[in-house]
Amino acid sequence: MSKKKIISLVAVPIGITAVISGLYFTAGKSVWNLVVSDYKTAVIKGAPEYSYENVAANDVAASNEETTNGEIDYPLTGAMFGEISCDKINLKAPMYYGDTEEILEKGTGMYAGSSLPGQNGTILIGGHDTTFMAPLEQVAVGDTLTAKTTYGTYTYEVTEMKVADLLDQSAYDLYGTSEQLVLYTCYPFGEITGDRSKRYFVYAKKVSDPVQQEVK
Amino acid sequence: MHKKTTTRRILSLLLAFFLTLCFASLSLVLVTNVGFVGKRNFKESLVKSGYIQNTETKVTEEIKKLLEQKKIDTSIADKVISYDTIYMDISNYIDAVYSGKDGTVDMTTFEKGLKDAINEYFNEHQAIVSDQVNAATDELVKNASNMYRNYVTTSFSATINDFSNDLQSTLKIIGIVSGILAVVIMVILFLLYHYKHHAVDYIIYSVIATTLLNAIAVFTLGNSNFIKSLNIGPDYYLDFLNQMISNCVKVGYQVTAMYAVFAVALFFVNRYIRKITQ
Repeated sequence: MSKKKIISLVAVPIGITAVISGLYFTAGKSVWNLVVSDYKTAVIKGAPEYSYENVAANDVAASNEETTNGEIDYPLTGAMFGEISCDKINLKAPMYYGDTEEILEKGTGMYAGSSLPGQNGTILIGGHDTTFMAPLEQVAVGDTLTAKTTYGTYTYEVTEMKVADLLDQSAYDLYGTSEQLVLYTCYPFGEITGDRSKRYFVYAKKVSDPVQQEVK
Repeated sequence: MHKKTTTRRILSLLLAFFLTLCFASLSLVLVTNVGFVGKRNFKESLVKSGYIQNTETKVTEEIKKLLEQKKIDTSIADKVISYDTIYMDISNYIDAVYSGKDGTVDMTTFEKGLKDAINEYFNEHQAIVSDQVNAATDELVKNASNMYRNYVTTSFSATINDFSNDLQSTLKIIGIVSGILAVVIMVILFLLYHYKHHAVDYIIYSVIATTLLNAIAVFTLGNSNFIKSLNIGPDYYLDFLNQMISNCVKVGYQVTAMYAVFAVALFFVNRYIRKITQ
C-alpha cells in the first residue's frame, strides 16, 4: 500500500470526523440538549422521591406534612427546596431556588429576587414549556396549585392566565403585599424555533397555609 | 481531464461526508433501539442495578414497622414478602404500562397472604381474636397494602416509556431516511467511477469516520454524570438510571466494534476488487 493511500485512510476520516464534530458543537448540540432535557424531565417526574438539599434529616417529614413550626427554611442558591404540583393537569415539578439554565434543566426555578411561599409576597417561578411547565397549557381558573416546601405545604387557586412580552415588567409585581404565586414559561408551548419573546403567566392567590404545630 | 478528476474527487469527498452522517444516524438508531429503549432493557436494568432487591428490603422494613406498632411478631413480613413476589408485581406493572393497559396492581393475593400469616400467628399464640383485634388487623393489612402498592407501582415506568416512545418515533424516521440516502449515495459513488475500487475507497473513509464518531460519542456518554446532578432518589433509583446508560454504552461499544470490523473487511474486499480489475 502506498504512502499516499495510508495518509488518505487516516486523514480523510479524521477530517470528516472533525467537520461533523464541529457541526455538532455549532448546530447539533441544542438538539442533543433538548433530548437530554426531555429525558431528565421523564426521570425526575417519575422519581420515587426527591432529595431535598439544605434540610436536616428530621425535616424530611416536612416534605409531606401540612404542619409547620411557622419558620421558613431559607434555601441556598441552587438548592431544591420543594415541589410545585397540580393533580388536575398532571403538573409535578421540583422547585429550585434560583433560575439558571442548569436549574431549569432539572426542574422549575424560583427567581431569587421574589418571595418564598409563606412570605406574603410575589413568588415568581419559571420553567421550560417543553418539559416541566408543559402541563400549564391546560391550566384553568379555579385550579389548585400546591407548593410543597421543606417547611410546609401551601395551596393556591389560579385566578388568571395571560400572555405577555418577555420584557414586560408590568406582568408581575415583585413588591406586592399579598401572597401571589406566579408561574411562567415560554409561549407558544412546545415550539423550539420562531419567535420566543412571549411568556405565558399563570397567577394564583394563596388559599391555605400549613397548619401550625401545637407549641409544646 | 485534470479538472474533471479534481471535481470528481471533491464530489466523492462530499458524498463520503454525507454517507458518514447516514451511517452515524443508523448507529444512533441501532444503539438506542437495542441498548436503551424497550421493556427488555428496562427490566434488565432494574434487575442488574439491584432496584428489585432494594425495594424488597424497603418493603419488608416498612411492613415490620407496621407489625411492631401492633406488637405482632415482625418475622411475618419475611414470610409474606420475597424477591420473586416483588419482581413479579413490578414486572406485571411494567408490562401493563408498556402495552398501554391499566397497570393497577391487584393487591388481593398480598392482602390475603398477610392476613393469613397474622391469623396463623394469633392461632399459634392462642390469642383471643376480638372484633377490635380484627379491625386493627384489617387496618394494618390496608396500610401495608397501600404501602406495597406505592413501591411496586413504579411511576417512572410510564414517564420513561413515554419518553422512549417519542424518541423511537423520531428515530424511526431518521433511520428510514438515512438508510435510503446511504444506498443512494453509494450508488452515485459507484456510478462516478469506472474502476469501482475507487468508489469503495470513499465508502471505507465513511465507515472509518463513523467508527471514530461512534467511539467519541459512546466514550463521552459513558463518562457523563448528568444523572448524579439530579436531586432525586432513592440511591437505588439512581443506580437503575445509571445502569440504563451503561447498557446503552455497552451496545454503543459493540456497534463501534462492528463498524471497525466492517471497515477492515471492506478494505480487504477492496484490495481483491482492485486486483481483479487491474
